[in-house]
Amino acid sequence: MKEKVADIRRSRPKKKVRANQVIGKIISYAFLVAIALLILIPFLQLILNSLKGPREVETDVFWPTEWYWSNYAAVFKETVMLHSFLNTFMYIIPPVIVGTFMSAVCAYGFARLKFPGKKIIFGAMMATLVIPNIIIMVPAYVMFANFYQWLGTPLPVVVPGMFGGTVCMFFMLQYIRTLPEDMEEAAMLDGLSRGGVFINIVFPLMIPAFVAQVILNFSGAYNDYLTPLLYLGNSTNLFTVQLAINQMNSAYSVETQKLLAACVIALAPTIVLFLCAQKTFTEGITLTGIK
Amino acid sequence: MAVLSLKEGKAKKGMSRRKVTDALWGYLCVSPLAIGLLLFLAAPLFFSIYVSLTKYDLFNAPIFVGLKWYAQIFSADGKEFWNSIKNAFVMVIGTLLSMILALLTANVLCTNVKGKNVFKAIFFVPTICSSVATTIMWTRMYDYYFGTVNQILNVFGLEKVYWLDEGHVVGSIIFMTVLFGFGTAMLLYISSIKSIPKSYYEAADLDGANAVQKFFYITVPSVSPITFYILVTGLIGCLQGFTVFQVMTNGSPANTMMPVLLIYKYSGNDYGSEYGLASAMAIVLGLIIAILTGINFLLSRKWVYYES
Repeated sequence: MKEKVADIRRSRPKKKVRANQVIGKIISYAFLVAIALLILIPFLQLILNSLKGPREVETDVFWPTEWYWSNYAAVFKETVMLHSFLNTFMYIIPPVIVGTFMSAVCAYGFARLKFPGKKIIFGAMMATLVIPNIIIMVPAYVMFANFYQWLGTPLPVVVPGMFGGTVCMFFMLQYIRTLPEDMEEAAMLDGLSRGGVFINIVFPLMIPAFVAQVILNFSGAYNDYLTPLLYLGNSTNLFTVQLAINQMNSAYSVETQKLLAACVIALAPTIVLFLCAQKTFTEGITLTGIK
Repeated sequence: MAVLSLKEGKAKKGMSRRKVTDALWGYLCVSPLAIGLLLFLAAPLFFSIYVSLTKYDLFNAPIFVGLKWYAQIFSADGKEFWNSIKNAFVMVIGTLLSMILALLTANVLCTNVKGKNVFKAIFFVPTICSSVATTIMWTRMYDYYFGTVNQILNVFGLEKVYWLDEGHVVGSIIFMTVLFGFGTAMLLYISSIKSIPKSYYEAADLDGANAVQKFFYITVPSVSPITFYILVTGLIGCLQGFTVFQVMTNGSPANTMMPVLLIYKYSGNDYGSEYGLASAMAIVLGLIIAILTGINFLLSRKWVYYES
């Protein structure tokens, strides 16, 4: 008898809980699917519109009746897109690779070496994070134009990044601190210099962090719009991908369906990169928090 | 005794030589970034202060005008600038909304739903997409004649709407930026929720708390450092907003004129290449942002170090 009562007592709330759980699950899925659809529909309509004919794109038909795959070939043939792609990769590969390496070198200096003024230099570097890029924007333009005589060349978007970046350096510093130091000590006793230690021992161990930062910096640099707009905005032959699609958009120089095809092409590299290195992106975001 | 001290001396000498070479290597390692920051950050920073005190159009020699531009910004003529700051603050609504959306999705994704990684990827992908392309994409979505949003309204028998006119454009942009920008905050929340000790929830279960109570009494307070961090960085992001506005409306209607867009325009031909005024505006805006960043840096320090 007693057992039975206890059973009923136990089973009742359980049933309720189960029902609640089912309702909760349904609401959860409905919520996730709704948000996912709101994100996917714009992408879907972009792809569909990029495959429509020149007439149909100016109607409110959602699904194309005839598929114009030739729009994509036309983008490469008729617009500056291909040229801009080559430009973009030429501009961002040196600062991303060299800059990330320089950040690693700097991080090694802070992590392993003692030198007078280290704390002050480190503090000053971290303090620069507070300075918003906006302040630098106008005077840097003037400096590139008048002192460095760099306008009309891609140098303003290539050179500054090659010295490394503070956020990247900080990330690398955190990584080096997790590496054991005794291997380096042993190598030094064998007569290897600090530079040799970095190249032969520390940097190979840092490859995961280096690759992660290269990927993140690459996608950031590829999507950057304001910097190339300021320094290269006047010369079409120097355009990056972002500048190219913006010009197609604002000048109405290209038919809508081709503009949209160009957007799909412009979106592809970072999305493919993300699909290949999903973990790197998500971990990078949660580690550095920003940027 | 003597031998011992001799040995010690040798060791000390060795140490000090190593100290010197280490210091040299140290300076060598640190110098590239330091030089880069000096050349491309410190130099423009000081130069910007100088330019803001002059009338300068890039071609003629700068004329010293003192604090004229600052006086202009802080007088009735500065309305344009302060309006743009106000517009940027209106966009903070978007930050709040994306924070709420991020917390909700993160909370759901931390339960055992299926397809977690697929949803996470879909929500995050827009944040790594080119904003020029996504803005063009949304401009097309909002198009009065052919846009998908109006097509959907049509299906439900509703009237078409001019989504990019003065009355709707702010809402339209906020909707787009929330949906395409909350992914970063979501990831931060997910990692933060995962670090909440399970025992808290188990204790709540024993006390008979339901999911809603657990969310408000355990999850929300536990992730509050992240919430604060997202709010402050979001506010700073709003003040620095540029691409979406330049590509979608280019500052008209006037309630989409953002501070950076205004600065950009003043340094262009259309607004008379007033580099002095543009610099002064940039410095005022920069000070506002720097103060906000400084506050954030001090208050979020704890969190940043815990994470890493």
